[in-house]
Amino acid sequence: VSEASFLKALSRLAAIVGKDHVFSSDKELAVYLDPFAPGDAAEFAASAAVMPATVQEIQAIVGVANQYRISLWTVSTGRNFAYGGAAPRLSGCVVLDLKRMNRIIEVSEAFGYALVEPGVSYFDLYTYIRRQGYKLWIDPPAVGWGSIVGNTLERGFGTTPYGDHAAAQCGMEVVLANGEVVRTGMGALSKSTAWQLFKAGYGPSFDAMFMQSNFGIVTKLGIWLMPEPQGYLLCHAKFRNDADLEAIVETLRPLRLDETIQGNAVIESGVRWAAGVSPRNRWYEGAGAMPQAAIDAMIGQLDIGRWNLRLALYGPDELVDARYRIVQKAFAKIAGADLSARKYTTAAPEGGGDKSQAGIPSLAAFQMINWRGGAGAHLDFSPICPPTGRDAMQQYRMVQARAAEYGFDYYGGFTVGIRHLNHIFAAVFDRNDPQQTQAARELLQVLVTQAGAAGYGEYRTHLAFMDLVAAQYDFNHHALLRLSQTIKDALDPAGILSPGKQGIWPKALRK
Amino acid sequence: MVSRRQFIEMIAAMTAMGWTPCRASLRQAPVHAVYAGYTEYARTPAAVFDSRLPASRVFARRARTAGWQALELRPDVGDLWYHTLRPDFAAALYPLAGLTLESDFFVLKQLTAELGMDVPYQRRHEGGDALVSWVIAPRRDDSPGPAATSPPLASG
Repeated sequence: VSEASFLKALSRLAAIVGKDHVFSSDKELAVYLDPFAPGDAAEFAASAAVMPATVQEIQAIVGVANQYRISLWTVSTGRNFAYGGAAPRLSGCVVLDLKRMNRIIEVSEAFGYALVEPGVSYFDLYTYIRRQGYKLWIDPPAVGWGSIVGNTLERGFGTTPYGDHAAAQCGMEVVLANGEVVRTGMGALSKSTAWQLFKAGYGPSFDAMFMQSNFGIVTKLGIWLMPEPQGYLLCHAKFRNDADLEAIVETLRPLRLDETIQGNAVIESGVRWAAGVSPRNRWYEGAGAMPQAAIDAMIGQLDIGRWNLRLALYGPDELVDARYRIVQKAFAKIAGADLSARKYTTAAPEGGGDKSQAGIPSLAAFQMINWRGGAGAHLDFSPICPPTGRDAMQQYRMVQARAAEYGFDYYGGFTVGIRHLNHIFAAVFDRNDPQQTQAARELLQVLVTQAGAAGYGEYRTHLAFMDLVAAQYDFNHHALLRLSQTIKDALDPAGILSPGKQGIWPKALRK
Repeated sequence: MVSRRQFIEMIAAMTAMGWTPCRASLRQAPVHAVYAGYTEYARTPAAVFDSRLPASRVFARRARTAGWQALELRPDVGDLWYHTLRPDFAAALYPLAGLTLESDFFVLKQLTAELGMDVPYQRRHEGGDALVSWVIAPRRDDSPGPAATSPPLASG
């Protein structure tokens, strides 16, 4: 695209959304740089940004993009931090920033759902529900400032029984690359009465196709909300030994499968727990990963476990009590397991992790960036792990060893779903320290590759590793990626939507 | 009338550990006079503090003495933003000065940048439990852009 053509396109965009909603100066575009970039943030820099307020404006923007061959990078609110934030995979894209589309279109207390636009954050919906007095809970991810639409499309997760956000999604509105507006599921009826009630609709279902993809622009999304429980119990458990991870996972699996434990449980390493309440230099000031002796001293002083488990039980008192007795009995088999619990009915918990389990959004999880000091940042490695003790130990040992080689502590943990574990390791670094930053990037590359060789794939990744992660999904010579490319070419022949997202490139940019 | 530069120097001194104003001109001026004299914005700046941190509590006390609003970060910076600052800023932007953990500064910096505010001053304290002093203020055309760092002051 020539500069003259680009400027013409910007002028057309300004005519659509107003000049106050088109940005192209370095100062304005700074907010679209990745603040946790593992290297030079300019590697993933936008050339401009445009903020529409309506679906009609998006349709018009897509028309301009097709005409001038401008690539758009869609973000809801752009808070996908540790995975790239609002920055585009392909430098030079125009960020299509949807945060002005921030209407909570409908909340149904009777049916337990909300229909929202991309600019609505978890905090926004939580506040709205509380003000309206609806007896409903949201399920916030660890950091609650992000978009509900964005997080759901990225298959984010939380810790209440509605913690699988993609699974709780019902009905979408999507603008396709040709400008056509499609509603999925029951929304395909003009007079639909069940858009947010029945996912499938009639014929093929397409909702999942618009998650972690570049096949369309999601402009409305239905999300199911949990009825407020009569009460709940938050349980913390501490475990003494590294090797206890195996028994913890084996103990949790049947309890999650039969839904004795209704929501995602979370297993956190000692370092991860400590990083939420203290900086690293309080415990260790040497170079390289913390030695075991320093970790032992730290967990002793903080009175935490080598592994720390959070789980929550919801419902009427009698049911919560019955479920907790089963949980206590199961964990009594692990020597040294130390369980404590607190019931809540009206008062709310205060800690960030506890609040998330009670459907209350928080930003406390950001305290992790204080761990290394300086300008804290993190880069996440997020492999899916089968819910067996053996697999969890294998992934943990592998990540811990590689992390130590690159000078990083094992800041990690496992979120325990019904049939899988989300293993999240964060390489926490000081972004003002070029060596640490480079080491984090190199470590992630090694982890992705080594995990892939062992049969473990990531569910989500930073811009810098999207192609590498896609390459690990190699069955039948990458047949899945070819399928994605075929769909991409059919729906977006000019390749204007989010090129390179999740490794899916338009034809003209494929290597 | 106090200039923006003098204002930032004052904040730098106030959030420094040990409270030792470094400029003779500021040393001569009573604290409240400096604050009162800063008239660039329609509304008085607010101090953001973290009650868990002793140095931050001291900063809040000084700010209150000067007639500023002192805003507590706890229990969660998200609550401060969504329930206080965002509604306030919808009416009019005003400067914030803080002595907080890096993480809370990061969050506020990101959120305010989208409203056209930037960081004319930030200073990380060595060995201070990830403490950082900062000023976030409505952006001016001649400001150096987001996240610019002022040179460290001699004091504190």
